[in-house]
Amino acid sequence: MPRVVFFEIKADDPERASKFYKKVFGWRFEKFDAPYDYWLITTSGSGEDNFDGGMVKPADTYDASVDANSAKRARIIEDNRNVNIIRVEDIDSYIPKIEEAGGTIIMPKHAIPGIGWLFYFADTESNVFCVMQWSCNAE
Amino acid sequence: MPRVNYFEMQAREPERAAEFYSNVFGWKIKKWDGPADYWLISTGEGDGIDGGMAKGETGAGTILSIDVDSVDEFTKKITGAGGKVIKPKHALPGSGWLAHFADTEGNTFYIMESDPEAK
Repeated sequence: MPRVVFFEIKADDPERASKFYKKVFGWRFEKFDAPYDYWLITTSGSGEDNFDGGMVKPADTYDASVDANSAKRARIIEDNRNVNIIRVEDIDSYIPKIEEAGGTIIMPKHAIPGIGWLFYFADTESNVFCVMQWSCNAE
Repeated sequence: MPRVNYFEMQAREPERAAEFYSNVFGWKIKKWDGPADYWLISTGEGDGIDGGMAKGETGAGTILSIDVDSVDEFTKKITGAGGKVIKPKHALPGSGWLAHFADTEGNTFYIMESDPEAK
């Protein structure tokens, strides 16, 4: 089954937030080479590619040019401070499944080059999740 | 290090939400056999985490739970680093001790210390 494999938190001041989590839990933060400012969070003690979370500025989590409802969508995403990522093998098959089941696509499918494809949806109760398919060929 | 090992969401209509997630992702969601309206979410095997669902007003999104050795010790660390207590340490009888916080940015999370003797 597709599982929650990654968590994302938002920070208006990423430096302040990373200091907080470093100091309290000892997590490691590493700036990631993405189209916008993004930090990978490693919560386990060993291994290099063992990141399991990320941090992003709220304004970078929606695309204001997407459509006329973007302000509303931005608000739903902003209300959902923490968004968990569900890993799937076939991302395209989940968009119709989610819509048929009463969910709403909040941010359409797009690529993170070299990493994979993702989209955000809100469930029937307005909880937001991100669905992601890992693919180094994504562009 | 203390890790995120659980997510929690809220639903005005938990049965409707359970149907949504079992239809879409095949998650197995069953009502908790305890004193509160709570649903346990099993997302499968392999890398990843499980979660839970509470009946309540939505809009705040999902909340992470981080496992720790000592709720008391981490409460001090969290408040010392600028975090705020939302709900202080309390027992989840038979499971452990919980406390609820907000970080410096307004993200909320739980810390949980396992303890079958908690009451």
